[in-house]
Amino acid sequence: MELGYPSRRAYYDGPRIRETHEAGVVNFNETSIEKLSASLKRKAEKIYLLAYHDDFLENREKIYGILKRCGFSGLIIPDLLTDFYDENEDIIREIQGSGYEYIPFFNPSSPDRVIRNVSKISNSWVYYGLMPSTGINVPYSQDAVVSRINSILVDREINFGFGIRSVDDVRKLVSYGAHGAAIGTLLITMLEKHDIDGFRQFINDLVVMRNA
Amino acid sequence: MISTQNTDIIPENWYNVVPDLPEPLPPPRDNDLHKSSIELLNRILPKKVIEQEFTFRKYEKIPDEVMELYEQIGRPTPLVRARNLEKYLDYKGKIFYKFEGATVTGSHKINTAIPQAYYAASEGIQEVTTETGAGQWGTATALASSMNGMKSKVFMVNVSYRQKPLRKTVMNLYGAEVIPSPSTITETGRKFLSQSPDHPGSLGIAISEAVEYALDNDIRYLLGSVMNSVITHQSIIGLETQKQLEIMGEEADVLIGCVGGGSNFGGFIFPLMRDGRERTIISSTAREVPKFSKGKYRYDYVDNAGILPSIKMYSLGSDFVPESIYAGGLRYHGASPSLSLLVKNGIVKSEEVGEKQVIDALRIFANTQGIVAAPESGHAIASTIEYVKSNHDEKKTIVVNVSGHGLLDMSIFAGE
Ligand SMILES: Cc1ncc(COP(=O)(O)O)c(C=O)c1O
Repeated sequence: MELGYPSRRAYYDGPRIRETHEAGVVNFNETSIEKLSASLKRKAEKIYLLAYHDDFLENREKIYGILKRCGFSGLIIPDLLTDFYDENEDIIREIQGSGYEYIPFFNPSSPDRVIRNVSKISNSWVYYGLMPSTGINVPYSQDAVVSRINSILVDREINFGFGIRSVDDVRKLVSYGAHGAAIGTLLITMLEKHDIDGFRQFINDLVVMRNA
Repeated sequence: MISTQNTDIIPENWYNVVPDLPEPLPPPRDNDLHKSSIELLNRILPKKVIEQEFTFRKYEKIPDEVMELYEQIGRPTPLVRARNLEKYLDYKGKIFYKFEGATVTGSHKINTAIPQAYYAASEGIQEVTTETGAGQWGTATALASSMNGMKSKVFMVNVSYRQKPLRKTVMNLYGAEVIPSPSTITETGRKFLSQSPDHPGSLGIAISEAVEYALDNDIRYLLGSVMNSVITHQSIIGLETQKQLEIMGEEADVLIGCVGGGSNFGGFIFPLMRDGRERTIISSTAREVPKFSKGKYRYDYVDNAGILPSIKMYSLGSDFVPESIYAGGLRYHGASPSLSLLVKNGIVKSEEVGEKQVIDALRIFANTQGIVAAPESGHAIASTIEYVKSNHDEKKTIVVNVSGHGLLDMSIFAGE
């Protein structure tokens, strides 16, 4: 499970997720994240916090506090390897040195050698975006995208996100060798429409698929 | 067989540098957090072009139909040793030039116009649109569209429209409709015209107009430079050069080219950089448009109205109004993200050349090699001459990309 630390600069999220950030920025308080993470922890093995670089640097102490109190396993910083590449080694070492996993976030534009180098200094699973941003549709072949990252990172757990629109997409990704899939825009859209049944159905289908 | 050109020199695949870059390329960003301008690309670009824009694949097969058109427009272009220039400069090393002016439209721009038009036509599109500054890109778009059975509408920066009537004639001959920008047919154009009825226009405004026109009419927009997909198509320059150097048993020590949006330069140097060999790489920009020395490496607008997503590049600001220099193709405020990244890392050196030096270089090149190069390419030639003068006793092999001919830009010599 992944929770987002609300940001005014959620550049790499699509319009839908950015709206949730906006609401988050207004309504955020530490008690609510504690409650939320406590209930998520009952459902999920591990929970991760996603925070944009600037928010992380500006609220470092607070974020480490949240990680600790809420029992997060690690941190995802979606813009670290693009806009703040020069700082990546220091930040990764700091996060890992503080006892948390750092989840590298790559996408199809990440150069091969960057994927190799960053994966070497981090030891957790890898988050691979199928698109350059969430919520948009760039035509691509799932098969080719998955085999590319699998061929660079052999034996590493890779979870995919960005642009996953159906249970069928997840099924295909898994059949190509994905370990997991992150689903955002699809679920937010359902929630916005108060489509609780659709939401339940989707989760059910995923569970059925996983157990099959 | 459709010509006696040595088509073995034309590569089968284009090369995309992005997966080989030393650092991740910052992706495009939406300007307005409430709208997805990246999603907008889906409505104006052919699907295949979007795919190529964001792909991780290093090699992209050139479709057979595009191959045939490449041959029709004069590919492969020659790589020639500039013996007379070497003698004139009394250089102990070697100077080669790759001559993109040998294509039928007279510049490298046709290398990407053909595949983009082909992909649009394959989707059943019947009309495309674009902008043009100096006219080279509009000319390429006009021909590539006709060759693919489509109409084209070209928004031409108003000053060039008035100064270069022959360019308009060529585009018309190739079948395009040419409209001075700002125009009355788009909202962006009307806005600028209401501020000043005699507005000189700029590339940024013309891009906004073309994009708006494409969106309103559900047609496709062709990208002239800057974007990854364009540079991938332009990689044909460097890939051919590499084969040609191999045939001649040569290796390049120094690579020189001119930079507007970065497409001829990126397309020329990226394939040659694949071997990782140490070499000097010099990008030559206009002193009047000092994007690498005075510009900032930051996210900025591609077009004036900010319709397209922002990209991270060296930029003088999208509202930068350049002096009216002859090398219209070098007046763009930014440069492609991939090239900007290599300039930032010091892998590519940048140099600025003033107009007087360009005119001298063009004269020397015409005089020694017989080629009237485009004013844009004159920057690369001037940097080559400068390099030889400052490294006179070296015995290096220099390869310069001459991106176009200047036979329609002769007014640059009028005052002489
Ligand atoms: C002959 C010629 N060379 C160079 C350029 C600069 O563009 P780019 O940097 O994309 O190659 C232009 C652009 O119009 C041109 O016409």
